[in-house]
Amino acid sequence: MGVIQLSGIEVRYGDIHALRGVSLDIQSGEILTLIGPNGAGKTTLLKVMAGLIAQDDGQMQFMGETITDSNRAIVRENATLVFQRPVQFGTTVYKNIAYGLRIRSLAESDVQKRVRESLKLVGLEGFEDRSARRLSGGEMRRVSLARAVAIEPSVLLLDEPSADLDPESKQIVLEVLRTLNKDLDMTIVMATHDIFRAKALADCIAAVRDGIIERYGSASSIFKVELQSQVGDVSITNSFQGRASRLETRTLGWSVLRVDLGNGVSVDAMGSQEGEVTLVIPPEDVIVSTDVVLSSARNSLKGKVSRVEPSDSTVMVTVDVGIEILAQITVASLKRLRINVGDKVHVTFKASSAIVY
Amino acid sequence: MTLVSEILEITLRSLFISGLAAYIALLVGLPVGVIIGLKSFRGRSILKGILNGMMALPGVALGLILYLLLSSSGPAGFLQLLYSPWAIIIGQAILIFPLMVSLTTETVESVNPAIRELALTLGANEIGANIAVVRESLSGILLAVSASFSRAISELAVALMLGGNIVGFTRILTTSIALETARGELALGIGLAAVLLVIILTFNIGLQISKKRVRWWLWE
Amino acid sequence: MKKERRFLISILIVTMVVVTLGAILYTNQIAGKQRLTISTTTSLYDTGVLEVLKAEYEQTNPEVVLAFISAGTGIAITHGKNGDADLILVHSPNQERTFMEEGFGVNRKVFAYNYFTIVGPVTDPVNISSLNPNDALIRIYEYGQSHDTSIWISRDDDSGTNSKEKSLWTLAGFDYDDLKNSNWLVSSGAGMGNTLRIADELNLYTLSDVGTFLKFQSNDLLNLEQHISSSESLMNVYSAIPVNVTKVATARFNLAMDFTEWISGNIAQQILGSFGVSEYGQPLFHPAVDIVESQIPIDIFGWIQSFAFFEFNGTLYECPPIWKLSDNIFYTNRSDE
Repeated sequence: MGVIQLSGIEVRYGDIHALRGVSLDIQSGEILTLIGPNGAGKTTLLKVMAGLIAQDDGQMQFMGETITDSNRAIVRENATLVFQRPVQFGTTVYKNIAYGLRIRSLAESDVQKRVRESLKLVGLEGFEDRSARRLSGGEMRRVSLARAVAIEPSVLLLDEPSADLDPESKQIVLEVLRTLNKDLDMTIVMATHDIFRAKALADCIAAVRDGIIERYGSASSIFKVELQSQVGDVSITNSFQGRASRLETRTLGWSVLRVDLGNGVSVDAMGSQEGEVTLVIPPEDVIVSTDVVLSSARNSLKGKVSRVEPSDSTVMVTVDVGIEILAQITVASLKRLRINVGDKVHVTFKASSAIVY
Repeated sequence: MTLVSEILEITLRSLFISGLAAYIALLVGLPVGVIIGLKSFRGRSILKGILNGMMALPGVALGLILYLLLSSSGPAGFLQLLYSPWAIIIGQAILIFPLMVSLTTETVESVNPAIRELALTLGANEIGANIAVVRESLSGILLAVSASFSRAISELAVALMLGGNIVGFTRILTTSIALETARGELALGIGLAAVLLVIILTFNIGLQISKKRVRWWLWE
Repeated sequence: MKKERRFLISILIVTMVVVTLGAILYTNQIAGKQRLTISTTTSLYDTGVLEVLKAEYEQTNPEVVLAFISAGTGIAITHGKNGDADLILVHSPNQERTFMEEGFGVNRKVFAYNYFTIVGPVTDPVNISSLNPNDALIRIYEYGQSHDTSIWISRDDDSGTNSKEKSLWTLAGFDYDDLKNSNWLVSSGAGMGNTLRIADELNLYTLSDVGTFLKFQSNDLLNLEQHISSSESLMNVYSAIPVNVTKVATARFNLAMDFTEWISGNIAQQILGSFGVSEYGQPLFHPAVDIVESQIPIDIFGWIQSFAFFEFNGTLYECPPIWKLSDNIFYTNRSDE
């Protein structure tokens, strides 16, 4: 049964028509990712689904109930939204997380247990007594996530959960969501810019533009179309098949993997699966250089430039290192490096930028 | 009555009168300030403007208006409140009410609106969400309380015109200072002024120190 | 909601504590007692004599509480008219007469007198020390007109002292309102104490009541000296006027009459006559009741009569009969014949 159904949802802020007739049917246990540019209406859509905004037109069903102004509380009690910019109550981490639990009249011992568990899940064990507002940006994001997770909502909504995070933290968030969905059958709706991780995590992707859903479908199909519309007409998607084996085990259940992609190419990636996997590398994480770069990135491959495709303010450079890898560089960099087709170059990227699923 | 016991009596009376006035202003003004700060309604800006203006209401003006109202020959004269502590309490409460409301409104408005949404999305109802906002504006509210109390206890005109500075009855710190100074007893006047300053300082410092405790306690 | 309940409980506790404290203080003050509100001239109040009288009166009348409001003669009269005071103690015969003519006051009783004094810089630049008040004022006027400097300060506040000052100027042939426009006359609009301070600061002359002046001088506050005192025209007569209960229904007339009788009695008169002797070497007030009754000493009685009695149908009365509410034997009905 669908847990959230939207039909013809319209939302207006004065003159601004934020949502112009959105219809969605979200199944229970599904992971839906909303992608689209800023101002497309993703945040508004999430807020409608969270019961924070009342739609001006259209219908919303939540867990089978038609939602009106009088029963919107049902939505808020069973769905929670993690905001794009982390907001904390001016108190300890523990009390921030306990807030939602206490509202639900949980016994104090249960509250303690859940707080501890959710902090462990996001890798912030021992942070209970820290002042929530004195944490780093990344830590605050994780507290917000823990806070939402602790109340075990039926639907978890997230607005750009990994924006501004370093690749390692992005990966952590990904893994947490994956675990929640797998273990608790939690329905997850997430807005993001990162189509690569969207592909890695989601079941369905909805592309939102100008207040309507332009495209909707399975993750892999939408991913290809979206990527092409974003970076121009390329057939390279930096998506590869390979075999993964564990190299080092890190905390929180994920490890550094070595993925054999064939043709003598193997890439170090971060993930939790072994065996047959799909690997995705965001082009903007790939560094192109004319010489070897000594850096902390684990992956450094040599190859030849096979294609140079400028588009808008960026240039997509395809490098053949045994497999064809797409790198996104700026026009200025292109000029500076004086890259032409046929040049020998190095491509470098971190293990955390290689996404495995 | 010895000098010390007289000063003590005057001080206690000042504390009671201004304390009760501040308390009344708090009970009425805090909810009003919170409501104005959180809800939008037609005429809100005008209301805020009026309240801001009334913050600067001169005590003499208010004292005169209330005197005319409470005088035996005035519309509220039958209450026989004039020249009793209650008249001063009413006068001071009215005087500091706009201050209390305005400062509360300002501080509630300055709270990140996302706090309210956060509370809602974590499952709070409307009232719970508003309480969360008020909790976040606690330091501003404490400032409002201390500013109101300090203004009340420092006010002379209202206390004089409505209380009459009657010995053993409506004589408070400010009126005593004025009286003793007019009489030429500068030493006593200075002593009373020092007591007044100590009270105000202690109150404000105490409020600052307890700010952390109160917030912690509120969040339990 | 556990938190909410605890919060509300603490609010309740604070409320109860505050209210209880207040109730205790309040009831301590006036439990079961009747209150007589007396509005008085500041010059009477500031000397502290009223506190002595109050202590004595309340001792013998434990069921009554005296509440003195000292805001000045002008305000006392307003209080009387509004019913905010039950009795007024003032020293401005002109204003008193109007007060009674308008029906607000009855049963006036003269109970004390003293003298105003003209005070000024110790150096006496205008040289008025040997003069009578009339000539002194003329000389001050001339000094002011010819020198381009301030030389006199007036309270200009409708107080009894101010009334006296105005009548003195009138007697010397000047129009007070005209004088106010002069450069050499400063208006303080303030009480006696502050006016004396200003006079001290700026080296000015002024009219003062003797009590306030002595008090301030003894506190070593002033560089001024009394230049003229104890003269007929400087006579200062205090009277008590109960508020007319038939016109102002809320006035506590019986209490007011009780007090008026008492202040005319021996005990009070003695207190008045001896107040200030130990501190200043001279009494600040003189009892008037005996003098008015016996008309002795003749000269003083004459002064009191001419300055403080009201003319009515050709006769001078302390309190003209039509302005009496009850037939009380302690009023003199004698004419000055």
